[in-house]
Amino acid sequence: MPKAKQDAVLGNRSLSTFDVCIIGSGAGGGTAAHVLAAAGKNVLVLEAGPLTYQFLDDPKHDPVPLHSNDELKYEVRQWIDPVGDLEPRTYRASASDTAQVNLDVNQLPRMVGGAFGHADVKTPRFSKVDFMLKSTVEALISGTPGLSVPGFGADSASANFADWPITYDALEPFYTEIEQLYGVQGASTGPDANPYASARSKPYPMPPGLPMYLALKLADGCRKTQLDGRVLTPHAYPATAASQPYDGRPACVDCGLCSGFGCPNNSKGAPAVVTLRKALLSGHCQLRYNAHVLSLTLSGGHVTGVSYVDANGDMQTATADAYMLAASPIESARLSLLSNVPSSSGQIGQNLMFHFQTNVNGFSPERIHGQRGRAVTTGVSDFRGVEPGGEAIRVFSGNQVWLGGICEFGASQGLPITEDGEVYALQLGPLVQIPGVPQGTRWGLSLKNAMRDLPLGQHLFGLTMQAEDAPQRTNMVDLDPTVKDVFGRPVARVTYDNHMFELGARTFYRPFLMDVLTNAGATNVFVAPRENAPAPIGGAPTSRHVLGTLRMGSDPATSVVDANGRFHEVDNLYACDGSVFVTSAGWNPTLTLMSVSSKIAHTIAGTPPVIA
Amino acid sequence: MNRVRLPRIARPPAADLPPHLRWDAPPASLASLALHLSRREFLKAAGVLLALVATPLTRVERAFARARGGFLTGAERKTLGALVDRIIPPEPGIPGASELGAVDYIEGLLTALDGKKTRLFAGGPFSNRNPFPDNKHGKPSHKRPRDAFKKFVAPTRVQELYWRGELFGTASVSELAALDAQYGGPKTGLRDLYRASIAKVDQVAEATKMSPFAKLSTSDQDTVLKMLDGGAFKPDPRRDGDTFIDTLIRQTLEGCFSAPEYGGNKRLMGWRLIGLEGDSQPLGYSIFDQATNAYVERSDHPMTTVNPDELAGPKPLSADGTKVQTTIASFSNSVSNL
Repeated sequence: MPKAKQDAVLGNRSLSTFDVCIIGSGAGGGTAAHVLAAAGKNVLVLEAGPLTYQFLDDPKHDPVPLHSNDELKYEVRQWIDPVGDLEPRTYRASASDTAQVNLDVNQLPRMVGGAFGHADVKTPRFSKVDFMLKSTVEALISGTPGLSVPGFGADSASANFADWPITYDALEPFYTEIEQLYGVQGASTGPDANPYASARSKPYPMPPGLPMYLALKLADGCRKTQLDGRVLTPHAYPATAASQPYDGRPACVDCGLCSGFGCPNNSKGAPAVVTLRKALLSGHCQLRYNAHVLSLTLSGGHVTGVSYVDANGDMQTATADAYMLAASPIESARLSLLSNVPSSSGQIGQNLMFHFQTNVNGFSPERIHGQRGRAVTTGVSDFRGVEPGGEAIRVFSGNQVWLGGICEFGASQGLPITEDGEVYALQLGPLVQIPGVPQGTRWGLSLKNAMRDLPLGQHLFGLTMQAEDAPQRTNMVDLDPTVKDVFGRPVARVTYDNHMFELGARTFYRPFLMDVLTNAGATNVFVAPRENAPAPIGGAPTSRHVLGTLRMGSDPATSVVDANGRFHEVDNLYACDGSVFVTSAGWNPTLTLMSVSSKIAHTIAGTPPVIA
Repeated sequence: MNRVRLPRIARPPAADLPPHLRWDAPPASLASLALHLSRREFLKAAGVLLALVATPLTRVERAFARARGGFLTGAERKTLGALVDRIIPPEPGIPGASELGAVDYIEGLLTALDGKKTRLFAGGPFSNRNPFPDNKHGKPSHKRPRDAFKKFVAPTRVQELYWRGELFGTASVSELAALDAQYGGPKTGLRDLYRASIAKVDQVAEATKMSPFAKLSTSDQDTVLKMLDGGAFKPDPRRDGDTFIDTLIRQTLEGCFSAPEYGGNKRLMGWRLIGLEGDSQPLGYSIFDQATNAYVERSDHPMTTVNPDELAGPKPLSADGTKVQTTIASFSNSVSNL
């Protein structure tokens, strides 16, 4: 029996001509949609993911999330992830390998409002030096005899570092706008502030919420640890979780299931309930969801339309005066390649960056109940390797420069199936059947005893360093020559391997990270192997901090889009997601992503940032 | 979120599994033929006689199962119940996996697409297990939400395609069958996997212990399960190399420890067993007090301090829990330079 046709449209349904069509409704697309709609531009947003709210475009109701504290729905059945082997990717470590299907390669969740709503919404700014790392490090090398930095100076051909075409000072008003719009909690001054953050024109809109118990333990461990003669300085982690009622949203209740889950009470400043909601209520925005964009149609350096498969599986087209790619770096690059978007730089899809995570854990003797809190409340930024204020590079004893990244204090979140049971029975079980290792916990009373103890879920805690990842032209997205998705299109093939720039930082900082754990009273401190270590130990990178692929720059020979996000060689096509990032810096990227998107959209609209 | 991920390392084959019962044994007899063919192929191959003997009863039982909205026959549920009870075993006064609801959960998954409404993704935002916060007074209120978990969310078209393949096999879904070649062949659906594997479990039990699995002593069941885990089931490349035993363990854990709206974790006994609170919304763990503009913690479930029952010092872990920690730490450190 034929099913009733699904109507997957939100917002102003009567709009029929559009100034701008945005592909993707997340942190980049949602922000741009709001800025453009507020300026009176008519905006069409196409979103591949599902709608996870009721009343999102209803002015008479607050949006009601379908999100919930439900491990099975998110972590096992992957409600808001791309759908398994229907939409796979392939991965290889180098161009000489054959890429294999891999469902783990950067599995960014996908829904109306994008992946950010499914994160624990951590939002530090980049610092001043991040936008001009290339020139700063080169100047440092020429002024410091004997200093060498992987990827710079004599070694610069091995990487593709460049300065951004915009500065921190140019972006600062947009940072402020976005912090106020989404509602960021954080400490601007005082002992909980991050000393490595650069100067800000306005304080954070909200103070930090309560810290988690495990974070207090790790902060204590930091204060007992020195890095090259300086005691570590833990700080409150900025995040768009409301710490008091804010803009019609309630205060966060610290329900625990934050990282990997949508927010059940809208206290998380997710694009769906902040910017998209505002755009949908403005009368200038229409959003079509479950709409999978297949390609753009180009004619002589001009986009003339976009084709997509709608919620019912039918082919549709849409047109607008201008188009913005905001599908996340891997998909925005793939769409550019599928559409034969021109770039004389030859760099479409290249300079793919993740954050290179070093994860150091240990076990707390008492239960640390990581299920109570916002996943990450506290961090430490001494391992970024810059001087306080974030304007200069720190040179360590022995003439060393290592640019790592901010460290998150984390633990298990109380997910007994995926963080505990599956590890004991399915991963550890086989492992301990190696000859000489005692019989494992694959099943039986020993598994049940382990579940009662939750030796991971209630005891594992540690640091995750989100280290800067060197841009390399050889780390890239292109179209897989053989593997197709359910729509019959070639899937994205990811080629990625590490540079000495980030591997060296991992080696340099690792003992200090372990010291923090030991000083925090952890037992059995260990360093997790990197995710993309050779098989069978590792697999593919799974970081959700995905950046690069459509590099921003002034020179069409070395970049894909200009400082305003517009493709150098297509007059009405823009990118406004993480793809435009020139470098990855060592900070969670989304606040910068939204601020850059806002700047691009304001430039198109001809409006200034809105600051209270 | 800090999570441990260890490599998948192949398990050694079980020495006591009779070679003809291995998944990769060449077909040598009618009995072993049953292992290699689908049920339909087997019946065809085994001929009319066996079909006459075997089919009518099973058919009636299948009709019963369908009539109650289920999938498994009574005998299959018994075998499955005995299997899940070896994974999380019952103890005197403490439930095991079948009492926790793992069999109902698994059958719920196998029939998730059978009803008018699919039962894959529980709704939101809240169950009715926790009250709303009272922000005026900084404490829990007496008002509870209705259980929105009960109202399942409809899958998208693409999600439904995926789950049809997951439950019924990709060969039966044309959009998915088109992709099978690039994955080296079709994916067997969970329904066929459970049905064929439960039959195989009883076959191995009968062949080695002369009795169906559910009728064996628990120690004989453990012996048979170990045999089964050592090569009776094919590692499935479409399921990340999982054998049926891997899938069974995974879904037993899901049945014990997922939200009860999915059919398991009866009366929250699973969460109680392991001392977890489960879903905490809309109350959560910190209550914003509008009078003071500050957060108030719940003294019974503190966020910033140690649990009340460990104020005097940490409670020791069991030997099994300790072993998990030491094994993970020593293994990870041995490979962390890679």
